[in-house]
Amino acid sequence: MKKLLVLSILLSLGFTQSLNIQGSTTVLPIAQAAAEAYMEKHPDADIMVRGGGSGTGIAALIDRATDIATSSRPIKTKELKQARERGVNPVGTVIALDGIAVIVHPNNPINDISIADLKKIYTGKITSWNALGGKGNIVVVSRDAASGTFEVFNEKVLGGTKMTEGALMLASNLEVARAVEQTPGAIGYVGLGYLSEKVKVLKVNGVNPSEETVRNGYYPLARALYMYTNGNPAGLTKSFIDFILSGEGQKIVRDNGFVPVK
Amino acid sequence: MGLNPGSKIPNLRWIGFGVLMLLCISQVHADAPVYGYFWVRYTYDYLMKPDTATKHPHAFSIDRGYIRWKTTTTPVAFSGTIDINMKAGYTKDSDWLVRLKYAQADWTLPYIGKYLPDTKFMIGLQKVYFGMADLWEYPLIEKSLEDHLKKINTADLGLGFYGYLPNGLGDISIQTFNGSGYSKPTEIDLNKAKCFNASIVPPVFLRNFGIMLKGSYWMEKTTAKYWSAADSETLSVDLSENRMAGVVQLRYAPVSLIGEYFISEDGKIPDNKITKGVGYSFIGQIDINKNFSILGRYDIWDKNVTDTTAAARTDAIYIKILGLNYKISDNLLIQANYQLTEYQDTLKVPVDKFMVQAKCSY
Repeated sequence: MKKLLVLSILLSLGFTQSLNIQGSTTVLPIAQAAAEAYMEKHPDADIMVRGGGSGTGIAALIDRATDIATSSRPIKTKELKQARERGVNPVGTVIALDGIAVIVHPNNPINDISIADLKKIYTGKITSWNALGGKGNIVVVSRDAASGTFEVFNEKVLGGTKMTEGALMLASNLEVARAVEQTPGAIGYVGLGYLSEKVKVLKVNGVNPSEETVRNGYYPLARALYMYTNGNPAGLTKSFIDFILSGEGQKIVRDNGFVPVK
Repeated sequence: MGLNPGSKIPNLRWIGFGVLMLLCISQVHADAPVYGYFWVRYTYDYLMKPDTATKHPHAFSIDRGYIRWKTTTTPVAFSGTIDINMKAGYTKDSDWLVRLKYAQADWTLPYIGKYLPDTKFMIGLQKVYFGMADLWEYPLIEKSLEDHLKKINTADLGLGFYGYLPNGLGDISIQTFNGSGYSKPTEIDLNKAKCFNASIVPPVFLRNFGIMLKGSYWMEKTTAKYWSAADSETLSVDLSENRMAGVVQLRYAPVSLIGEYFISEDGKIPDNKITKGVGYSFIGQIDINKNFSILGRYDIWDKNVTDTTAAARTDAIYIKILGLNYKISDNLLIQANYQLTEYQDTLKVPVDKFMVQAKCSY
């Protein structure tokens, strides 16, 4: 009886394949939904998904603590060097596209904003909506500096200029959306997957953030979302990434408010 | 490094500290996290051949406590590190040190970013990117060879440029320094020492196999004053201090191997008399699992290879270290090291010691 029990435990261990995914909070809803759908189809797979931010995920990949690092930005040169020193070869796969939508309180009369004006607002040069045809003071809301969303916004809008010290730095897309929803005069930015009717989405340089404008590159605040692996994906990792890139996986991407790559 | 020729600005580190505090206050609303770590160490010294009068000294110490602060502002970021240190066997107030280790401003340089990505220009009390001293993250309790020998400073007051090669193929740095180090920064003369470093990290051509090659060069010219009894007056002499290091790092999980070749040349410029020292340091690490590692290190230091006298021919030292690291959590690492120092001069008594250290980060 004991032998049978040990054998069954060994067999069950042998047949269970596990996969660790860690990284971007932006990619988190896609990874979670895809993992659930994949495990439903493959009961022998055990997929654990965690957030923590793009930088945390890539650091875990370099330390071989995760199989897949999710990231809302490309890997940095410094990270690439650290990885190679450790014999880790990060290979990125674009699994979805995203637009960073600029949002304001629903009562705000503004409909369109330019990158130049966005920069002025986020660097503190414009502090009142009066300068842009609205009313009242501007409440600047941002993601915290550790997030990939912040880094992309920083690069595409601020161009490296220091953000105003008065900005409210929040830890997630959801918190930014809620803060803007509840604060008249607020402006913030979130991934497309976090939009709702409770906030007003602004056109940027006259372009609405949409699947079409993100994919064709007309929307200026578009970005790719990545899954990084050590070398080309293989085994369960490859199977899972292939699933996300399949029609079913890309439907999950779309259902979560992001833009499919195919 | 270098002799201290005396100072008219004896409290430069406190001036630096004041600047750091002003920067802290000016940046109080910016995103400026405070973080750091401290090391609590127990050391048990044991002489291999103790005479009856020798006791076995042992003591607790807070060997290093760092409080770090860094803004994430662009294009200029400010950072500082305060070093708190209590010597083993604390008996008097001077055994308790609070020093400024780093206080610098970093400018990102976007114009050359596409050729040398993530480049920055640094001003202030900053890290010296020399050899193993730069790479050493204390997997063993002992310092890197050149730091242990006090042949190089790990931080110094100066100007610097640091950038990565495209695609993470390595990095380069060029720095000019005061040369006095962070513990005795008594002069503002940022052109006494120069430090050049370059590393190459080839693409991974064999899965899980990583290579890093690094070369470093430090050159310094300084003037030392001394009292000449024969002339009954204070005289000065020009000194040169050159340091060179080559580092090879190989990693094939779970094994890491590092080798360093280190040369030290100290000369008096008028008579061109140079004392050349040569050292080797070999470090091996095996990660048994994610939390437990076994380490070994073997250092050879021959401090004078140019002198052919009998005394100089037997002045080498050998340091052997065996270490165990156990990571209890992401914020707590326990280290246990046995360290044996032997001498080429067989008349000298080898020295060994056992150390246990807890590294706590926050």
